[in-house]
Amino acid sequence: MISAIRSRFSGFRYAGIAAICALLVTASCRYKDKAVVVTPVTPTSSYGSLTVKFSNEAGGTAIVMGSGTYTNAAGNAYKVDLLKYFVSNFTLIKSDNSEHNFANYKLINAADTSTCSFTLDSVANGTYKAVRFYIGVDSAKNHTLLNEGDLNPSNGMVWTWSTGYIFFKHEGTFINDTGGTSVLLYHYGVDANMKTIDIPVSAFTIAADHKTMLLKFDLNKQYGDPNVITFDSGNAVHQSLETRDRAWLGQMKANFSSAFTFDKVQ
Amino acid sequence: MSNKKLHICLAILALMLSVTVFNACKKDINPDAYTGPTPYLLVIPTGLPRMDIPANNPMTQEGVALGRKLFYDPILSGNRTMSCASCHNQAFSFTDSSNQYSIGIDGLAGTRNAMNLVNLGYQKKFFWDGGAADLESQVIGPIQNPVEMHENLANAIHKLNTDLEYPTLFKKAFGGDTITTSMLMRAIAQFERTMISGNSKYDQYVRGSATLTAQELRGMELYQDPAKGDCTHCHAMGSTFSDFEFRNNGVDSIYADAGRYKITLIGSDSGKFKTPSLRNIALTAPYMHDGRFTTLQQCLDHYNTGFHYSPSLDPVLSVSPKGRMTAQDMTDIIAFLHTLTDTSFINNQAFKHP
Ligand code: HEC
Ligand code: HEC
Repeated sequence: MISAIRSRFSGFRYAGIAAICALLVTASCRYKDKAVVVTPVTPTSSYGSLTVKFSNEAGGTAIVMGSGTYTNAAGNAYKVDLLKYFVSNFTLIKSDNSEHNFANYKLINAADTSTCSFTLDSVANGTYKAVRFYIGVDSAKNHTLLNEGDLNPSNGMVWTWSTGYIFFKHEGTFINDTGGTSVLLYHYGVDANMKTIDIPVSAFTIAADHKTMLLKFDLNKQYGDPNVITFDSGNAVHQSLETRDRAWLGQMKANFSSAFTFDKVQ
Repeated sequence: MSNKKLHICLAILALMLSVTVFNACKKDINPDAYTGPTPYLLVIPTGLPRMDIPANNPMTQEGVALGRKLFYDPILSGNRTMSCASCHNQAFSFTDSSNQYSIGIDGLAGTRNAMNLVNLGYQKKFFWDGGAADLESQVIGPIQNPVEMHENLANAIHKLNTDLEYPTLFKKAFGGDTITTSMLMRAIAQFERTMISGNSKYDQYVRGSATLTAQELRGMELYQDPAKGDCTHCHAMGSTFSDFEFRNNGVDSIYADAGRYKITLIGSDSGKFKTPSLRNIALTAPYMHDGRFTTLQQCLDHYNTGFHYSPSLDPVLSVSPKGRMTAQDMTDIIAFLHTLTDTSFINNQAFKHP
């Protein structure tokens, strides 16, 4: 009888242990729930982050969509209704020449500044001297449209009759030789036209902190430096997939190098 | 029960209780865990090869059923009047009846003849010029084409997301609460891979369950005879009845439509088009990329005497003497082509409007 009572008591003791166990687990799981909500903090010791911002200009002034009028090197007055391009595989190059490719695909839409920057997390501490990126989408992603995010084909940057991304798209109008307004359209793409941009930057150091790099894109340079591209009403619609008049592709490809420039790191 | 045993029992109970609580809390983190759709088992008829299903789009019953619904749903067009099936009619092996050029939602005509959608899962490139690099990517073409369904892709996805039925159906097939463009492409491609034809009179003959007439047998010989039809050179005999390579079969020497060149921009690809399958060919008139021929007789006349010489003309044809087939030869080949008609395919309930 006594032993029976004792064991009943120890029974309570076990129920108590069970309750504590359960509480502990629940508590730890509640903690986990919280951890899901809180943004993960990268170890502050060896990494920082970098935001890369593109400003889109024409002749040194910010492009005003739809209304701003600009004049290219050939003397054509033009407007911009749409300006979008893919920046991909952004790579940071350290002063010791080691490289880190962030393997990203970013669609810059000049009409929406929220799309004109991206942040690279886990940037290793160190001093950086240059950046490299590509205008376009590499062939691994360019031969199927089954891609998500900025590469989602609903973003209006694909051809419909041939699988592939439009790397760079400018649509607008210009004043033609007879003084009238003509449609202007540059749709640039296709594997062979993917462009590597290498830009030296004034050396900056990441030391477990966050910095912002400003890069500039200038549409006037894109049409004029070094190759002068003339807008002409007989030939204002440019598709990389057009079979005629393909000289503009090589000219554009070369001009990208001067159109993108480094501004500053802050 | 001994005291010690009781202690062990209670200890186990305590452990079980805490495990239960732990599991409950795990469920809390992932409230409606997605169990996944049911795999779709593709049945390949004897005589056709195994079909490679791309790893990024495994076939599921939910995906195929959804693709079928979408294929027939005008929701994907700009004004909700036109579906894929408007131009791809099952009764004509999924071509557009007798239309040379299909008319889109704005009353505008395209420049090419709607294609036969049969055994697509064996093919690598789509459209007459192979412009679409995979079956999934092909889907966005007709939706956005101004002379076809003329809809903005983002808008089509928006319509699906705000529809009463589609969000649940997509979730069942692919998981996730938001319909994405790639889910739409995947679903339709899954349905298209089920559209397999392999039960024509010819297939039954190969399997020993039907006999061909003397004329059909003669036609089959001539189809393969290098000195006569030599059709097999390109429309490979048996199985899919094509190797799907891009070739110039001499329909033109000056090209109104540059064909494959439009995609590759390689000069020697001018005037080349995808060699189409000849399965169900008796149902798919008119013929060729621009639907220029209304009868099979005209096609045979083309290969016998009508083809045009040009630098990119396929070497097989450039050395084929004109007039090598007699009228009887051609009639026999046409009789053989009729044995490729698969009525069970055009009547298959699984491909009809759901
Ligand atoms: C307005 C008529 C029309 C509509 C609507 C239409 N198609 Fe087509 N389809 C065509 C034509 C014409 C072609 C050939 C186009 C070319 O080669 O440029 C074609 C080609 C195809 C091909 C290529 C077949 C092959 O062998 O390469 C597939 C697949 C296809 N369509 C599927 C679809 C799907 C899926 C839809 C709905 C999302 C659809 N089509 C809507 C007319 C249409
Ligand atoms: C050199 C390769 C080649 C040979 C040989 C050849 N074809 Fe073709 N065939 C093609 C190509 C390529 C096309 C598509 C051409 C186009 O659309 O302009 C085609 C199209 C066709 C079409 C139209 C298909 C459709 O869906 O519109 C028919 C019918 C046809 N061929 C029958 C035959 C027959 C019968 C023979 C033998 C007498 C034959 N072909 C020999 C390459 C060939």
